Amino acid sequence: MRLLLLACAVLAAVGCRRDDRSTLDILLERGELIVGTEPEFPPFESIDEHGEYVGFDMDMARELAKDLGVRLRIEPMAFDSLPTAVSTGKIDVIMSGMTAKEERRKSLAFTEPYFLTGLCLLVNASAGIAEPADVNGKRVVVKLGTTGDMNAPLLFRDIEITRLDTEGACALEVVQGRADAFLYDQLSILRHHQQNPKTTRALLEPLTKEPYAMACRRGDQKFVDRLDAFLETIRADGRYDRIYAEHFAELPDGSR
Amino acid sequence: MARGREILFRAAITIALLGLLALALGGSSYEWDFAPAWQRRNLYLWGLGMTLAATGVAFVIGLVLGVAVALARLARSLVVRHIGDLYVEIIRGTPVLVQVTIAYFGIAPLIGVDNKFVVGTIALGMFAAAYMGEIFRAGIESIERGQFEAARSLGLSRPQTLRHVVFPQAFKRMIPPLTGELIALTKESSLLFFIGVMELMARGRQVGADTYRQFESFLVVAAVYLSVTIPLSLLARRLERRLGKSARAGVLL
Repeated sequence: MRLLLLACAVLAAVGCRRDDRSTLDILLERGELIVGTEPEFPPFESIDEHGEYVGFDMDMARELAKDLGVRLRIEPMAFDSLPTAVSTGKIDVIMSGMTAKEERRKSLAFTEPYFLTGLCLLVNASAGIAEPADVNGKRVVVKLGTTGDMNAPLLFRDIEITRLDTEGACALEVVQGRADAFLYDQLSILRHHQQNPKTTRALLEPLTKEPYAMACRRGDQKFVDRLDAFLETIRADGRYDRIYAEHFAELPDGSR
Repeated sequence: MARGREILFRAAITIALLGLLALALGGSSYEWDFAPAWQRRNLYLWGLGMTLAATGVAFVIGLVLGVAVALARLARSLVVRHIGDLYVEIIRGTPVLVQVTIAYFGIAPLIGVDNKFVVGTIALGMFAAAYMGEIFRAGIESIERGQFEAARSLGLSRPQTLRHVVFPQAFKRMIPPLTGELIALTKESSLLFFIGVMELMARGRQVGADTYRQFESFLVVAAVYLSVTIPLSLLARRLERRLGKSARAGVLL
């Protein structure tokens, strides 16, 4: 009998080996903040010619680590695996231009938004698209797993959707005329148009409202509150404005 | 001299075909710009280093574990044979991406390993072992039964027969498929980008994103992969020819 109890206790101990403390306590003890990101989304996160992480989110991450008084480690990985990584404790927080969406709230907890944007369209110059309504019945390309992917069927009728793995591949579909329009985030659409001024046009009036937020483990309210306090602090003391001006000089203030 | 002529002839055809491809790509409406990729050549080199390291380690794991898998599938014990069969079926029947993800997020935390490179290459090596085990098994089974019987009648034990009679002959037949596996593995290591190993493909994606020039970046990546896989193929062909000669001369390894 005693042996059986012991076996149960061991099983139970193994069963709740998972750390139930707040991520905040864990990272303070560790002395290091681990931020997960897919560095393929400039001007929010990318890797520059020296191999350094740059962009709006990366600057925010540096400020956050400073604010928490810990070192910063940036963990790159595929966008799709970020939610799994934060749920399994491989990373503390996602800062990867991620939109706070209802569907994602089932597995993640979001902070207050730190950037407002929306989906826009990159269209082929000869596709005959002058306004968003012209996209109905056309061929639309989206990046797999993004809000563009989720929203394309809701925004347009009778469209043929192609889902591709990278942003660059999606833009190329439009440049080469295999798709008529690419539904994606405003800033990226603008940059892709600037890279291909002859073959594409950009419709930059946002079709949706997308608040970017940091994401952490679901149910970890203590950490969310701490992150929200951080956002409030940097908005008040001018650090947010400085980072914003550095990356989005050409944007209207409506995105803050 | 015939060989020298053949090499020249092959080079001419290659250059002509590449020229045609370049002409076709250059003629499209796409506005090419390779300057940003060139500026970031270091990133590709770092990525190549990571790809070579991951492939090399995974290949060695695959070789060792592959021999074990092949021996298990040829074993007399039903239990051992079944475990071998199960391993090959499960690994071959599921995508590498799924295996790598499960290994990193599911299994690694249980055994307290956190290093992406370690987890990724072990998963990749276990994947390769299933295929390499099959290559070993086919190689061993391709040796005529009569040789087993002859060896046994000479008083060699089963392990001795395998070691001194079967393996030396089977090895030669395994070189072409093993080279194929090594080349496939070089490219499959690109799936490690999913868990954040910064190999060549990950670097190519990141440069493509940072410069808004994915097409150019991917062409660079393709060229770098070819600079590894083509020499590998040539090396394997030479090795095969040399072993072929030794066999004809009546010399076993």
